[in-house]
Amino acid sequence: MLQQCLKIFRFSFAANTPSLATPWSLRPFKTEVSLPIIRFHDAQPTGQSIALDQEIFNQPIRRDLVQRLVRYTDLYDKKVTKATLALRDAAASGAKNHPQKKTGRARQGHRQRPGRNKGIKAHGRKIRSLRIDLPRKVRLQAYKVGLTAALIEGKFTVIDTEKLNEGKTKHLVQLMKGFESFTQPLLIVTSVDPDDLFLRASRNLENLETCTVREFNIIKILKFKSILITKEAIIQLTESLKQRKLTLLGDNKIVKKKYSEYPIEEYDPNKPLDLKFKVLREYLEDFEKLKKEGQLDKFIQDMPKTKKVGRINTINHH
Amino acid sequence: MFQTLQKLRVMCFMFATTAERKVPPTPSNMPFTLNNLWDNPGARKIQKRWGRSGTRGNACGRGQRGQGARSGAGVPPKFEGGQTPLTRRLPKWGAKPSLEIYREVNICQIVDRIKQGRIDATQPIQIKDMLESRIFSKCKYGVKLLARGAERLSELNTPLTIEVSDASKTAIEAIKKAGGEVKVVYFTPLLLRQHLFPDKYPLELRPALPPSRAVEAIQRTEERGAVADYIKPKWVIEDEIEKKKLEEMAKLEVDTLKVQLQGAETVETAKKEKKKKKQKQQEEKQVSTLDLTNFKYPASREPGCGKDKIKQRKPVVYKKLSLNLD
Repeated sequence: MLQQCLKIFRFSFAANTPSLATPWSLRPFKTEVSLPIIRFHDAQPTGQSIALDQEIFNQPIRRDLVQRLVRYTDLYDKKVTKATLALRDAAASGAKNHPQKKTGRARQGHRQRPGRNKGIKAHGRKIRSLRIDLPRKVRLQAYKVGLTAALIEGKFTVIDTEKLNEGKTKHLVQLMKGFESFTQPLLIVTSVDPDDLFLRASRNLENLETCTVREFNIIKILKFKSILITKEAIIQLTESLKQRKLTLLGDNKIVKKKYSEYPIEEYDPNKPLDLKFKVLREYLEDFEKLKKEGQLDKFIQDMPKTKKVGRINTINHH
Repeated sequence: MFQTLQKLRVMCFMFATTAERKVPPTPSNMPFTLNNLWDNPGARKIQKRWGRSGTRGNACGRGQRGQGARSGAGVPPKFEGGQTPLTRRLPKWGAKPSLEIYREVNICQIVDRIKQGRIDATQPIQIKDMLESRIFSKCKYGVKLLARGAERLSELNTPLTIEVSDASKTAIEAIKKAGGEVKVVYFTPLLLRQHLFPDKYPLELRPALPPSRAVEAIQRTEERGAVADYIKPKWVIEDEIEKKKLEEMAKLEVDTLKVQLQGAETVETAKKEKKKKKQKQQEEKQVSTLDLTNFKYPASREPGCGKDKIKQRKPVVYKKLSLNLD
C-alpha cells in the first residue's frame, strides 16, 4: 500500500517544458498529447486529431535502458561464422610420430601440435552466437522511452492512409515533396496489412523505407529523423503494447476446452459430403454418376480380378 | 571526441571515492541518436582474464608444473590420494523420508482469493480451483489444509465446502463452526494430473483403490471430523460390519445383556476357584520343604531407603563476585 502511494506521488508531477533533460522521477509531458492527422495526397491537415496514450508516449526518460535495448537488438542476429581448425578437422593422422622410448628424441604424440610448424591453433575461434539476455520488462520500458524521446524531438507525423490509386513511383515522388523531408531518409509505418500498390511504388526508392508495426524497432526510431505513421498503425501499436504488459503480469489467459466439449458433427445422410482432398472428390463424383445411371453392378463385375501377390520388393533371405 | 569524454568520465569514476560514486547520473540534453547512448557509470566492468599482467600473468595462478598446472587439471573432491575415502570407510545407515509430500494451504489464502473474486464460494472448492487462482503453481501429490487465519472465516457470508487429501484438527473445527464441511478425497499422481489438466486426457481414467497406509491416514482425518469419499477395501468393510454389530448389541434390551454377563461371571468365578486351589497346593508344598537352618532376617528398613526415600532439593546458592572495590 505504501509503495503504491509513493508511486502515484512520484509520477503525478511533470516537467514544465518537455525536454530530454528531465530527471528520472518526472514525466516530460503534463497533459495528453494529441497529434493532427494529415492527408497523404495534399500534405494538408484534416480537422481530426488522434490522442496518444500516456502510458506509452509519456514515460520518464532513461537513456541507459535505451542503450541496453540497442545493444540487444544489434547482437540478436550476429554470429561468429568462421572457425579455426581443431585436431579432428586438420588433415593429419592421429598416429604417434615415433615410439615413446629407445629413440634419442623427445616424446611426441601428434604431428600438428600448436608450437610446431604447420600446427593447429590452440583455443581458437569457434562458431557461436553473440546474443545476450535482457529482461522482458526492461525491453518494454526502453521501447516506450524511445517513443517519448522521438515525440519530444518532433519526428512523428500522422497520416490517414497510405493507399494509392496507381502503383507508380512518379506519383509517390511528387507526394513526398510536400513533406519537405524527402532529401533525408524517411520511414513510413503502416498497419499489418499494407497496400500492394503502395509497396510496389515504394520499393525502388533509396531514401524511403517502409515497415509494418511488427518490424518497428528501436533502431529505426533512432535512425530516421522523420517518421510517418498511419492512424491504424498507432491503434495497433497501443493494443499490442498493452497486451505485452498483461502477459508479463499474468492476466492474459487462454482458456482451453476439453476434447469432449468440442462439437462433433454427426453423420447426416441427407447432407452432401465435404471432403478435403481432391482425389476423393473425383471418386465420389464417379460413384454418384454410376449410381444414377444404374451401372454400378456392371462396373463391379467388369473390374479386373487380381491375384494375391503379397508383399512387393521383398528380399529373399533363404 | 565523445569517446575521449567517456573515457575521462570512466577514469574519474575509477579514482572517485564511494561517496562520489553514489551520486546518480545527471540527465543531458543531447539528442537521442545511435551515437549518443551510454549506460550508467559502474554498470560494466573490465573483465579480468588469464595471462594478462599482474597476478594472472605467466603461470596464471597455477604454480609451477605438476598435476594442477595441466589442462583439465584436478582430482575429484572425494579422492584422497589412493587412501580409502571417508565415504567408503563408513557404513551405510538409515532411511530417508519420502519426497511425495502434500502441499500446505492455509485458510487465510482461500479467504483472500474469495474476496478478490477468483474462487467461487457457492460451489465446492477443489484442488483445481486452488491452482487456477494461484495459491500454488505446481501440485503433484495432494493438498493439506491448515488453520492459519481461521478467525477470518467470519468475514465471509457463505459456508465453505472444501475437498482436500488431508486436514488438521483446528482447521476442520473452524470450518464446521461456520457451517461448512471438509471432504477427504484420494488422488494418485496420475489421477491428480487428470483432475488439473483435463484436456490432456480424452479418455477418463478409473478411480483407484488406496493402499493400507493411505487408508489409515484417511481414517485418522475421519476421527478429526471430516467426511471421507473413497473406494474401501475388504478389511475396512469387515471392520465396519463388526462395529455395527456392537452398536446394535448396545441398543438391545437390558435383560439379554444381564444373562450374557451372568453367564460370563459364572465362567470367570469357576476359573478363579481353580486357580486358587492350585496356588494353595503349591504353597503347602513349599512350606513343607523349607530349610530354616540358614534363615536370616532381612535387613532393617529405615525411613529414607528405597521407595520411602526422602528427597530434598539442594539449596540455591548464588555466587558472590569479588570486584575488589573496597
